[in-house]
Amino acid sequence: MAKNDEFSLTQELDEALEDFFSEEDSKAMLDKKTASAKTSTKKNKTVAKADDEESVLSLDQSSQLDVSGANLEKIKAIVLQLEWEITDETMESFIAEVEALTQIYKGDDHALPLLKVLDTLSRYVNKNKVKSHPEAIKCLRSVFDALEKIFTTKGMADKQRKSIVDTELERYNSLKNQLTEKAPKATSNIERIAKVSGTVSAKELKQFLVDEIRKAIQEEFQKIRKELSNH
Amino acid sequence: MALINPKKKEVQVKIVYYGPGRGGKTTNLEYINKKFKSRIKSEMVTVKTYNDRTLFFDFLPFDIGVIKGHTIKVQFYTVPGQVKYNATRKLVLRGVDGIVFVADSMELRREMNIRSLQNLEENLGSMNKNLNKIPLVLQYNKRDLAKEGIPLLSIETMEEDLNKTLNAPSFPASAVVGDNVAETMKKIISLTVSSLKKKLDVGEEK
Amino acid sequence: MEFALDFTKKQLESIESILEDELIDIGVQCVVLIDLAGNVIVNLDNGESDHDVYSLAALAAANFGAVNAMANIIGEQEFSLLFHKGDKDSIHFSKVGDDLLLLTIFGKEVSLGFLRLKIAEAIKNIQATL
Repeated sequence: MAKNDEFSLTQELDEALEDFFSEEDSKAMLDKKTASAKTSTKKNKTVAKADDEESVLSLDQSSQLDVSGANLEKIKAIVLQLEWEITDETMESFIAEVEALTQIYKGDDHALPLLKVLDTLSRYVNKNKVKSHPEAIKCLRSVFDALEKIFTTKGMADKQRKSIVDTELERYNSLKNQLTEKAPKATSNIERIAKVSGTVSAKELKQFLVDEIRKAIQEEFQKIRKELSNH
Repeated sequence: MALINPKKKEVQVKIVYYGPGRGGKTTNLEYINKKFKSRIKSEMVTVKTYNDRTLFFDFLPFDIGVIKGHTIKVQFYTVPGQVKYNATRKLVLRGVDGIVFVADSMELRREMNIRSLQNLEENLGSMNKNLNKIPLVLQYNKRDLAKEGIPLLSIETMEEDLNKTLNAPSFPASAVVGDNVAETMKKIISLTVSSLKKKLDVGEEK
Repeated sequence: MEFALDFTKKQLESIESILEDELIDIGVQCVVLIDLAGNVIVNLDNGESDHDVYSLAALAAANFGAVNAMANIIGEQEFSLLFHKGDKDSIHFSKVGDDLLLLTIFGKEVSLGFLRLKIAEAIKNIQATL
């Protein structure tokens, strides 16, 4: 039995090696392959998202413009830090800087809504960390870029400012909708988090959320295990 | 250690071409890559220095087909032969399943062959592996140089120097011309995959 | 150093589902879990990338070894952040336990900071399956 086994392995192996290293058709196949290789030149994958690209660009460009205010400088450093690593410390200092800016720009109709969004988003990310919706980080970045543009572009028309702010608010609202839409699948109460995130009651909700997610994952795993053991 | 993926029914086997610098390890792989281009689906990867010596390794992967229900992916590596690159050689040897030792037939290189084989033994030893137990094929390369009047070591001398205790299969070869290059490779694949029989059997049951 | 890593189908499946949920779902292009010998253990992508993961794995394993050797020379055990940034796409390397390496390839629409959180979470979950 064991001998037979050994024989079949050797035989299979010999055949595979014969096939691979055989002389006859390697030339013919070579011709075929070079022909096909020509047609299948690597396609250039440009999955770039145009709007995203622009917003990232705007940061780079505006960084060359003169930046007004030490607060903006500080918060920008934190944003860059967040790009590298999201920690409690960086999130908390971000929130504190947003608060400081909110005090300064209390009377600014354009800056204030953006600052409010930044405040909500940063508190949401700080609370949810790894569980945050990936869009939230992108949105935070984009809103910050818009804010910076408004602050640093000299002589910007009111209309233009408004349009920038509107775009960002739209983006934020769509994220909010995504969070509430996505919610019922996991738990019917999640949608509340979007509404109350940033307020005190979110604390309880967070725990609730974590528990729900844990439960959902456990159920998924159990399903998978069951399926596996059936096979 | 060959990696078996029971989900994809795939085995990855690592075979390393070892030997003294400028002995023709890269040429071996280049020849195979050119000759069997049609069956090798990925590109050969080489990390070279400015003067065309192997700095890190060459890497040539291909599938040889399905054996015992598993797709066998053989991955060939060469090591940099120069003495100073021992750390890199050790890195490349990590998880090795089979070895081809490419010796240089030139009389001048006799000492270097012996030293390189010793170095291989030491490096394997540091990973708790034994040259006597690992699938091994010896290749006495550059036999074609005889025609150009370059003094070569006789096959007997090379066997005596390198293969006396190992008793591994050996081939006189010319990597530049292609003599026995495919044969060397076939032999090492055959030995290595056969040595995995037990693992394949278990994999089949999973 | 020798590896004694064998994976059951079940383990591979749970690793795949972890990587899918934590990383592919946030917009990562491609993830490859490899061992330090350069073998590919699991690879997943978002359907839009066709990288040669086997060559990538061989180079990444060697690169990791080289970077570790550099760390040792300057008196570090290892470097905790290994990251190559490209124009469009970047690669992040992360050690999983002692013997495995996780490669993550992502475009610039993914924030590295957030990705690192996700990777840390994925690694924690993968280690629980090993």
